[in-house]
Amino acid sequence: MASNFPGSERQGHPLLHVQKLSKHYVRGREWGKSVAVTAVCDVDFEIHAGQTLALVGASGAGKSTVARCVARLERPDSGEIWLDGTDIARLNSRDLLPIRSNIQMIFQDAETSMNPRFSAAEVIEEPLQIQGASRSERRDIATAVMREVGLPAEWLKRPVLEFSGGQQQRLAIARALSTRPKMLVLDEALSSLDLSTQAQIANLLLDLQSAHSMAYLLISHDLTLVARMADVLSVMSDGRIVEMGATQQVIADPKHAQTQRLLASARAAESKFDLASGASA
Amino acid sequence: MSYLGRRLIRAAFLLVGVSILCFLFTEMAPGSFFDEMRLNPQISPETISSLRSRYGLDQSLVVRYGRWLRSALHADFGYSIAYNAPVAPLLWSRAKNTLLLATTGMLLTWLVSIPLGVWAAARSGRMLDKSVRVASSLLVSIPEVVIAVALLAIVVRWRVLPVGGMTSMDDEGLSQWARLQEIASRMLLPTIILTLGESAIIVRHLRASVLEVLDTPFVQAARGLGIGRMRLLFRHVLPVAASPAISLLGFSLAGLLSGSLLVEVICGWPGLGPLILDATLSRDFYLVIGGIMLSALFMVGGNLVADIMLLACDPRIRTGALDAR
Repeated sequence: MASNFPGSERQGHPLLHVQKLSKHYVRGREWGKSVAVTAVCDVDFEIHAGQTLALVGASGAGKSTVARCVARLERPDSGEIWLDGTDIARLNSRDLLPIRSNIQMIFQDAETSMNPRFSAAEVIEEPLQIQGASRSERRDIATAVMREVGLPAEWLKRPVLEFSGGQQQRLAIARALSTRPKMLVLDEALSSLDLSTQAQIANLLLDLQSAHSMAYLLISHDLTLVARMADVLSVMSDGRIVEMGATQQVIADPKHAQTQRLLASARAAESKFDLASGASA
Repeated sequence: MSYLGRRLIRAAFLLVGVSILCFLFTEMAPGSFFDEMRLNPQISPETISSLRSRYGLDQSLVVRYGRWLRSALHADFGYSIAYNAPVAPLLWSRAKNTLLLATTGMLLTWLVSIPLGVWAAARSGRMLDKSVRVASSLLVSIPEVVIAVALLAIVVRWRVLPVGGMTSMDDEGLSQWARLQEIASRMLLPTIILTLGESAIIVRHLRASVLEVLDTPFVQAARGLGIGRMRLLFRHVLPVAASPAISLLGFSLAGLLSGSLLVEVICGWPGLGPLILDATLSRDFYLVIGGIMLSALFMVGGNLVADIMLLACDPRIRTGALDAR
């Protein structure tokens, strides 16, 4: 499977190429020896510009660890993460700084992912400030990305806490867009939103993707959402990728037992939902 | 009504409550200022009873409280029997010294605690953090008296610092600058004792709340943006982590004052501590009550200062989000 990635029939080099990524955590000590837990083991995948790869799996399967390693919030134990021609897996924080603008992460809970003391402008402009943009440059970009995510530019002065849940997620996307990244890591970015807001944000993300041909790494447990957004679907179980392929194909013909289980539970939830809405109608 | 207005009214009620309790408890305590006079055969019982009526001690408790309240409104706070003078000026001349000691102690405490707490949290589990934790739990668990007496013994034995009083006996001929130096050197020991005990508590609290904030998603997100360690700690983490520490400030101010009374007695600092101790031992009724009221006032004032600081730096209080909960 490692050599023949789905989607590799596309032209040119992939934007992101992850090879043999592994990460262990130390879970306390017993009798003076540290006990390691393997979170991710030998994960390989690649994403092209303008493409979305979804990682699905039960909780604890290692999806978020992959996301955190790719966004370099964690340092992987071994493996390579090639982003746009550079292996970022081992870079130290100083060398990472210029690369950070190319890859941005959006978190599950937008509210807690932003400093509660900051205004919208401060939230959006901080990454630019770190990258060394001038004040007027920052203000221009902040106004532009606010429009892009569908928020009025006058709201820049408002404190983050005054935004609603959906608006906060838009703000988080605006922050991520401010450095014009080539890649977004969406770690359950839509899970905490109600269904109609979720649909709006999903549309926004799809529009932004086609406008800037960004690549998305989508971490989710929601197969309906994944079916709508992802080109490639990979299923994780116990820290490994157990199945990967074009989204429609995997959903139509799941090979691995874990995939079948996930699909079955998604369908069960869906039919329950149908029953409930049928009863109330 | 505004947040501050409510706090002020609450503070006023609190002070009235404290004064009532004060009267009740001092009344219940056995003995009075004139007990020793009674033992003296040369003073006739008539003299004593006329003295008692002069100071109003023969009246009922309610009448005495009313008279005290009236005198408090005139800023006298009753009359000291031992000093034969109104209580307020007596207290004030000593309170200045106590305030000097306590505020210096507090400034030093925060100057030490904030960097140490943040630093220990940022390097949690490393050597520095471990030593801070051990040192602070030692200091928290040893009573302040023991620390004070031990330090005093060391200082006296090695003659490192002058101890006792504020200035030396022959300070008349000294220049302003030399006087200041003299006061500073005599203040050093009591200040250090106060700072040690208080900062141990604050460092522990600050370390815990910084650790908690370091774990929140927005700090992770900020790390992901490539924000450097110093900016992260002091621009993102500390303002959020400071809220619980600031509420602690009110208590620490009150704690410093009550702590300083003790330290003053041990180090011979001419503040409220020795005055109140003497007044209590000689049953100088109104002076005791005045002293207690003053320390209650400091406590209330300290909490008020903390509330105002919280108001300034926590947006949730301004918008009333916390009251709505």
